[in-house]
Amino acid sequence: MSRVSVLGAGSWGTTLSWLAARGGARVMLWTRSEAQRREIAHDRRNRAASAGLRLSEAITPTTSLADALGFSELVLLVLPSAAVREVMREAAPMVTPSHRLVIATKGLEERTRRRMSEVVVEETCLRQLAVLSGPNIAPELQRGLPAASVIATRFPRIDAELRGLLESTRFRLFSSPDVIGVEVSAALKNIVAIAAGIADGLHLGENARALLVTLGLAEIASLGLAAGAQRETFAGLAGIGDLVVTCSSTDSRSHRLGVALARGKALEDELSELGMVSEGVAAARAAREWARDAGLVLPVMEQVAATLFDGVSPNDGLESLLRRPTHHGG
Amino acid sequence: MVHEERLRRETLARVERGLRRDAQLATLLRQSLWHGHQRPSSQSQLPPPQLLDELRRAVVGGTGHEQRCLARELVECYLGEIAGRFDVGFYRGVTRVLPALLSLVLGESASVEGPALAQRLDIRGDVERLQRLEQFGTLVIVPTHVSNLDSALLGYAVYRMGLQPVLYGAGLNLFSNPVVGFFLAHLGAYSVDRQQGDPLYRETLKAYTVAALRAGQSILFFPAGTRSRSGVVEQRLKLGLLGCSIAAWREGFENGARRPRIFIVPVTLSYPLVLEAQMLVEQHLSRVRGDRHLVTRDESMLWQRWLAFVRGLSAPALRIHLTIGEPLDPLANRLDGCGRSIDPQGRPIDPTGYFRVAGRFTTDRARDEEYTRHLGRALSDRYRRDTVVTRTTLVAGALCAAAAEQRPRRMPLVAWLDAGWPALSVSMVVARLSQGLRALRERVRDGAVRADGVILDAPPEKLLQQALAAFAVYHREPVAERRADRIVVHAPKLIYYYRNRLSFLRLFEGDA
Repeated sequence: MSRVSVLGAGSWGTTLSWLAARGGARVMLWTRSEAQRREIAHDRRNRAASAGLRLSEAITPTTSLADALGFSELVLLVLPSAAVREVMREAAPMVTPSHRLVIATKGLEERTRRRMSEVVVEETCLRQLAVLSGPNIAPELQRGLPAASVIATRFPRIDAELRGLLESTRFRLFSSPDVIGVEVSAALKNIVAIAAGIADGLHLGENARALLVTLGLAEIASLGLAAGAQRETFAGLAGIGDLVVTCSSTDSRSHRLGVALARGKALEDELSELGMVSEGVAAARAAREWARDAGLVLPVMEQVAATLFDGVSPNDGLESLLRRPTHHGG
Repeated sequence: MVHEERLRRETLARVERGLRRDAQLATLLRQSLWHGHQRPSSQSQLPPPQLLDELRRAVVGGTGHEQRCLARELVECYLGEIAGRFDVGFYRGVTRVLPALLSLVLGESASVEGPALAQRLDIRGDVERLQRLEQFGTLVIVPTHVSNLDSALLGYAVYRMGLQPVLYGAGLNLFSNPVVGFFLAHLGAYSVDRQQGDPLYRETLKAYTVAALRAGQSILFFPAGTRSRSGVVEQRLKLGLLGCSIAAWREGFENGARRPRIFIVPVTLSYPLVLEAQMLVEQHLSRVRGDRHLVTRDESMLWQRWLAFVRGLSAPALRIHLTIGEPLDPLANRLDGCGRSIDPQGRPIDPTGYFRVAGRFTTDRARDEEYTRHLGRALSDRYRRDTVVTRTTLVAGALCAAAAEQRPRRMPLVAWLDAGWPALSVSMVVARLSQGLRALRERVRDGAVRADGVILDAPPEKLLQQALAAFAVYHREPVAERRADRIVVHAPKLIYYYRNRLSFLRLFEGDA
């Protein structure tokens, strides 16, 4: 029977555990919260993350990182990006070179703007890495609706293991060798989703959202290409696919944040009200500096950052986007 | 130095083992045949015509045995070209007379304090650590490739650092000169024919390299495969030979060595002046333009230019920097004092895990290739951080940035470099230089690059004057000169070439 350890019992981590258990694997699910561990162990529920889901006995919750990493050499990393470095540093003495790590965290480290795979290599001896990303809204998967995701890795073994673990007729996996492209898309889509949320909150209509999504994709691609990604990735499931979902779904946190900002709420209030981390905020800060250093002009991302951090009103931010010249060489 | 004959036998045995596994021998030989016909203009005469004829017959109607014999013959023939003829006595002799020889060439001024080249070579990094590591295992020295002078310089540096002679990968083109070729081969060089596309040749070269590493012979090769044409610090490394260090490491583990100990040593060269800069940048721009015929005149092949270059280096304040980077294991992990792999927090790790599944060693080509890519990325990163800023590269950056302000919109780079630049005002260049210095101090603080106080704290006017003087000492045509309050740039392409070395730092605003 295959085994997997899942680090992070948020909505996506819990859903992945559930998928793996349903496929017949034994899962050890790591969380920092003792209350959460008890709830899963006794009630077989994880209400904070995914209220409706019943978690089978195949899922063993734990608060011990050592137990989780000793349970399986195949590990899924599903933590918020802000926690990845700290947890990896803590995990470093417990992991070995034969551990395989699948990164399902979508985000950039705010301070260093490193990709998650870079953070993992900086903190541990791990080298066998993969990235899992795609248009995957957890509640839909939990209801058994069809979806697909991208597994980006150069290690055929991890690819095969993950397919064996997660794949079903309801959840398909596509392989990609482009780890950088998939990571960059996953991290930056949230910034565009904030912009789309702002447009929706201001009732600008579907046309405006399509405009922002298209411009946003081009901006994601230009940063991605600068980092060494392959162009095709952005036209794929982990690129445009994930972007479309994140920008239109009301389940997306970044989108909700954008809507709230458009309605005049302050960033801090909104974040505490959402009660969730927004990867978009960290990504917006990281992307702004990244673009500056790379000498790239990225108007959509810049306006989102200006709205988030410089006190520019959402309306003015969008206005200045619309005032930009639209012809080449203007 | 490992015994050459033993190395040949071992290489041959390795390739043959591979061939035995290869059911597609006829297909393989057909490829050899095809590649053999593709390269009449190449440096190499291999394979010889009569072997090609036999191959043609064998791939059509030959028996398996005949094909196997021919494959062996072909491998032996490649091996003959690759393998060096290291000669201990010759090595000792040459290294003993080399300093004196250089003094003689350079005239009396050098004889007092040793040869100019030696004085001008600034070796930094932990040399003692390298000497210690050499006791524990095998070194794979992987330098950046700037100039054809690199080989001589590195050979000299290995000797001066007191390391054992290394087996030395050098481009086949360097062997075309019989005298140079003789010296190279007898000093431990083996030849690498980059143009040879025959898979069997590549297998032979790799088998030779792995065999040497397994025998404990330290090696040196240029992972970029060729000199950087544009001048930028290389970011794309060839993975073939780098992969050999991973293969040898894995084999060592498999055969029960608890620590086969292969140490990757990144070496970064930073030149204030580059011997064949003119030719390199011309070739680079040719490629940018998409020319079909590349410039082939190579200054580095003219001994007069070498002399001019070495004389040029005797100008004050010009030094070639050679940075010994931090040694790594083949998966780019750091090493402790005894050469054990450690994790980022300094705890020893068991690297056999990289190659084992459920405790057993497995062969996984894709996995090892990705490990090699990882090593390549780590090395590229080191090369940048170990680059030492020179006055010429920094000032070239400022000149380029100042000139770029007047670059007509949408003018292609090549045209802009060809067109000649209008004279630049000294005050503008100095302003740019101050700005660049400010940015540079930050980058040095972050560890993105290295620079000495004599540059970081120097007044920009002085740097400018020193750099212009430096350009003037070597390059035949004036590169840039000061006329009253103007700077006239005569050779924008050379300025562009030197500027590229530091382009990764983005020191100058608006200069993309």
